[in-house]
Amino acid sequence: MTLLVLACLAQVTLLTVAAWALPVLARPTLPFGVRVPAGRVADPAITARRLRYSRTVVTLGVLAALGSAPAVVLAGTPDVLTTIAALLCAADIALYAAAHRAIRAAKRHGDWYAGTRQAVTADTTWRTHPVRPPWPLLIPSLTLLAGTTAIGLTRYSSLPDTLATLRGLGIDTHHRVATTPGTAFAPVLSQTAITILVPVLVAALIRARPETDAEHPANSARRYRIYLRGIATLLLAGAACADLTLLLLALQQWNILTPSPLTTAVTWAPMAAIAAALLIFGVRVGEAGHRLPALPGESGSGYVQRDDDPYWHLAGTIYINRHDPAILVHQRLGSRWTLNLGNPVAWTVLAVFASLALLQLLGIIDLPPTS
Amino acid sequence: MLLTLDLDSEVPIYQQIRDRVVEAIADGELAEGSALPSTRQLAADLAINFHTVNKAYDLLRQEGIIRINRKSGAVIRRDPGSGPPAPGYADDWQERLRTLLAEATVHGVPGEEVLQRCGGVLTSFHDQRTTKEPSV
Repeated sequence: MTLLVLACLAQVTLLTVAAWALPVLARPTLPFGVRVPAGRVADPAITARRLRYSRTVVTLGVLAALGSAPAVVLAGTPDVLTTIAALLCAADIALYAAAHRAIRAAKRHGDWYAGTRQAVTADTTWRTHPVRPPWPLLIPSLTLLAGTTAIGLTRYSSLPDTLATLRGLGIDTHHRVATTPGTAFAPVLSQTAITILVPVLVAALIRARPETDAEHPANSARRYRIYLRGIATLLLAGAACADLTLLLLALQQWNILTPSPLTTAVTWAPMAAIAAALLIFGVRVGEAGHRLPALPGESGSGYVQRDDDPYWHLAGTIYINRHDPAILVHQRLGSRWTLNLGNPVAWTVLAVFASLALLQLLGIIDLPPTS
Repeated sequence: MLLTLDLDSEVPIYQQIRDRVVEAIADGELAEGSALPSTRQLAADLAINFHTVNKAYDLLRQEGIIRINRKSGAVIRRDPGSGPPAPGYADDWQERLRTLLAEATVHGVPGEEVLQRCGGVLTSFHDQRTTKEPSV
């Protein structure tokens, strides 16, 4: 029970810190997902709203921590962790959306773009001299995939009739499934999917529109180049880490390694390392590289970045612009990308994924398990 | 080359793209043989219709500034070091210059200042070319 309470407190703390950090890590010209001119980033409406959001998030976190301990004791099951997390997430999202609406209203009433010249900038060297991802980082992934496949093929004939399965983070030897090529090679299938999809994703990100600020085009282009190279490196390294974790899980399923708390810790250590690297990268480099130091010598261009708020919906998370030929665009919140839902190609991509999910739901196809 | 489009300007977008490319060549940012992005890629990077970029590239091609082929895409065809202009070019250019100078005259800019500003712009092109590495 003590362990469950501690896990609940850790979860509440993690969620609260993540919600608190969202506006702190965001680009100054995109507070709470609203585009504002650089001259307005310190507007009292924004600073007051940021302070109010931070205080409310921390208060909610403290209340959730105080309330979760008795809830866990009363419920006595781990399921209560999910409920508490869902409630806290919903409350934090509602706070974020309220802050977004308030800043948007202040921007509209104050007519913050009056007297500015809006512009867009493209760095043509992005296409003639694109960022080169560190493709050699794929070698560990391919080696791990080949190694896991070879071990699986060697071991398959001597496997027992049933195989232990993954439950939570560890392999549960009591919960077993029948040994079939599908269950035995599920880790290999997952490795294959990761090793194929991650490079495809990296290639797509390189082709996506760079976040160039018309007010400081040279510096923003340079920062984004460093940022994208870092993201590509972390994604390719992350694929290798995921493949290593899957190999260690497979070794436990195939009775080569004995499941134990230590084995579980070692199994997930690569994923923890890449998560830590992503966190450090996010804090040091920032979204679209905005935390990197500016090179001296570039003064403001006299323009401000185009106000594209009308195309961003749901607190700046969904992008729909039928006049924009881009398919993949950088999110306003976080180091993530999203599809331009105004582009028919984006709907085609979504339709393919929806069809796959539907086919699996109907039992027509069998996708690799996600847990 | 950083291509900035003023969305509040009265100058059409395709004309702005054409002008920025010509200025980049004069500045030495682009040289003969430098590649330009494809029309679709540049349109996506600027969040504008690709027909607009197509129109700008077509204008540049008609003026002999770029060449476009299926294999290598759009490439700069001439720069300040490509030799003397085509016959008749200087006369055409003078016609356009006449309109610009007429505007300055109508607005009362003194002749000396016009000459001084023209010289300043030409000098800035030269200075930029001597400091910049063209991206090929």
